[in-house]
Amino acid sequence: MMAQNLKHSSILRTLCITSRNYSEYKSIYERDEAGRQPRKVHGKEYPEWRRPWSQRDGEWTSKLSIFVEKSPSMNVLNAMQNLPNLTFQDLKEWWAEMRVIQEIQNQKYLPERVVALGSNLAALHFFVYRQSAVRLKDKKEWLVGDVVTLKLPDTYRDGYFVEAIDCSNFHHNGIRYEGLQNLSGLNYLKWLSLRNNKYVDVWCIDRIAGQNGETLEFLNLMGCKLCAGCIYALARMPALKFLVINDPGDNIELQAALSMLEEERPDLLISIQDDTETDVDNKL
Amino acid sequence: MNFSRILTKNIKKYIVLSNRNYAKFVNPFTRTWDTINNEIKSGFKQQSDYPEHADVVIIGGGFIGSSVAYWLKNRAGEGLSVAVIEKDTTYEMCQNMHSHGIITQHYSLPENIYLSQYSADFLRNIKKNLKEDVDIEFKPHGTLILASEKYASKLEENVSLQKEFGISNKILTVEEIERLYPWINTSDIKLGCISKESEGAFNSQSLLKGLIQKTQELGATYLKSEVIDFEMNPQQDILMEGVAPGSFKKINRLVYRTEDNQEIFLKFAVCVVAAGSDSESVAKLANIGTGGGLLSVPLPIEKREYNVYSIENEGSRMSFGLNTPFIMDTSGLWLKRDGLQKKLICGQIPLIKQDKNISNSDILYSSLHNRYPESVKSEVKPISTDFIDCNTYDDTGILGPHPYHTNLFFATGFSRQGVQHSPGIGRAVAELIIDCQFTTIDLSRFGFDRILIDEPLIESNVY
Repeated sequence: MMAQNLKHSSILRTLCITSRNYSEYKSIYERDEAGRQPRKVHGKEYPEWRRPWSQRDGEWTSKLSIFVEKSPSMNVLNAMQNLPNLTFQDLKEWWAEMRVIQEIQNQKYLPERVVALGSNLAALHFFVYRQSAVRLKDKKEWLVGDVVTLKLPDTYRDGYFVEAIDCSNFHHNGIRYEGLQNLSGLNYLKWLSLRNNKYVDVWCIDRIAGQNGETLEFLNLMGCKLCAGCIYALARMPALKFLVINDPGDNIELQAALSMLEEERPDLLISIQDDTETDVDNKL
Repeated sequence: MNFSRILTKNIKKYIVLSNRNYAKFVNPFTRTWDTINNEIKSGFKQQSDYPEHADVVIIGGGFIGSSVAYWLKNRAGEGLSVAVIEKDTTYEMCQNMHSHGIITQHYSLPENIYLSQYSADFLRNIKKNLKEDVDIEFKPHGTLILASEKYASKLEENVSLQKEFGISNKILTVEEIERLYPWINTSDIKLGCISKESEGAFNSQSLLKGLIQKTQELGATYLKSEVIDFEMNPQQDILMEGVAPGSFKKINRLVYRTEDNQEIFLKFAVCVVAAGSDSESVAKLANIGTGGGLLSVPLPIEKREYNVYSIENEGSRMSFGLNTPFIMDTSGLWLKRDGLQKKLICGQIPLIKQDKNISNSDILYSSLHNRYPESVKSEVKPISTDFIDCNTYDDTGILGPHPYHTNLFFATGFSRQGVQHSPGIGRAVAELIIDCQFTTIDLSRFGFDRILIDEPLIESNVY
């Protein structure tokens, strides 16, 4: 009832502007009134040693010049220049690119989400609503479901600590580099399965090592893009005890790096498994 | 009437078919006329294989030059014709540089922070940006910066500044460094700093090759030649601040000498100087440093070289493991592990003031034995010499147009940061040329103007 009343008054407010808006996006008239501002580069004033000829004393410029804002966007010009060569394949590729951008934006780390829920609950929301399973500390059951079936708290509550995340069924082909940032701040994360996430590569494992390397004990990287560089990132995880990967195959460098890692860390167990075996992460 | 016409046509067809010509027979008179016509149309000039006009000329085809060419072609496609002039296509000056293939996030200037963040993004998506078969071989071992008493507070300030830009660097105390890396001598260190992500070593050669191949595929012309001279035309009607009226001379063409010793004039609209250590001599050809007024300030870029050594110990156990970051010591010494092999590579950034009594290798040995005590027992031998283009004014790169020659852009002097920042720098120069302003990262403070007005831009997190 209160909300409806408020909505009506905000519409009226936009119809008759009664006060000045002090935000950044000033209109061209307000900017012209404010006059020439000193140029700022990264917050500091830039020392100009000469001024354009039109701004010297005694030079005249038309008042209509406040309407001259920007030159035409060069990206639009580039697209127009390629218009005669446009093929159906180009349109398909453009649409596929747009889908990728959408997916990355959907998986981005949102500071607003973390501010509202706290990093553990925010991660819980993120992973559960994208069809992965999460297990909390001191609990035995895995939380799986979507918005309708599972009622997760929508404000910060104490006592939720994420201990294990199973991303095997992550929707839309798997978790991306930007999505892994949601694992930051999870201080009790011990168990992580990135099985069948084909977009996980060196950079992703490096990010995991930096964010969660202190506490992570189990890591499942089956189906990910492994290379010799991944082993450097794994060496930076001091608490890692169990690692599950695919067969390195012909990659000699990767095999050498794996044997060096095994030699250095006698308490780390590396298990090489095929995709045909039933899932190791059988909700231990 | 119609019937007879059809009949003659059929008879002619039959005669022509029975001749069975497999080549198009052109009447000799037609042939002569066509040849003369073509000659007249081209103005009786000899057709040369070398280009005589390009919209943008890039002098120097190394990391920065190829990156600028890539971004120009990426954004403008067929709209800009780009020519890259490189005098040494074997890239002897860039090959096997052990200090080149490192990416770090430890910077204190906002421009450098943005540039290295963008480089990490570019290298992560390199298969999409360049071709599918480029393998950058990223090895994320991290970078550890060590600070003594003097620089500890500066390091803390820099880390809090970096947090504002989203970079999570962790400060390590002496106990933590000793626990994680017990083979380092920490007696004179107060603090260390290590980054959590996107830091490590990559294969810079594959980056260069990928850039060159993609740029050539997009349509840029690579010329194996050397720039000899710039041609300046007096333009008396131009008025410019700092220049006596009527004395302005504009650079329109440059002369380049090709492989077979032909000297060809190349007319351009914009010229980008990305020649690394040779940038000063190229700038001298444009009278920068030798003229008067605005042209009296030379380009302060010098070539510095330093030796890179390898430390190895046959047969005995090395105490460092796979978790060996790229260590940047307080004395300018850097240590890195040589891939999967059990040896270390080290080098030292030379001091600004050379002390004649102590040689560079003595300084290196003393700092090395101090930091890594086991190296006393190991064999240290020089493996190569690294060349960098160093900006002697304030050790930061020069990027932007010259105040007098407004169509001459510089993109040199980045010393050790050149390779890792090359994607961001190339994009910035392309923005200056196409949009006439910086749209993504604002690198105005890297301009040549700071040398004229004497405002040095110093990066305090780099030794």
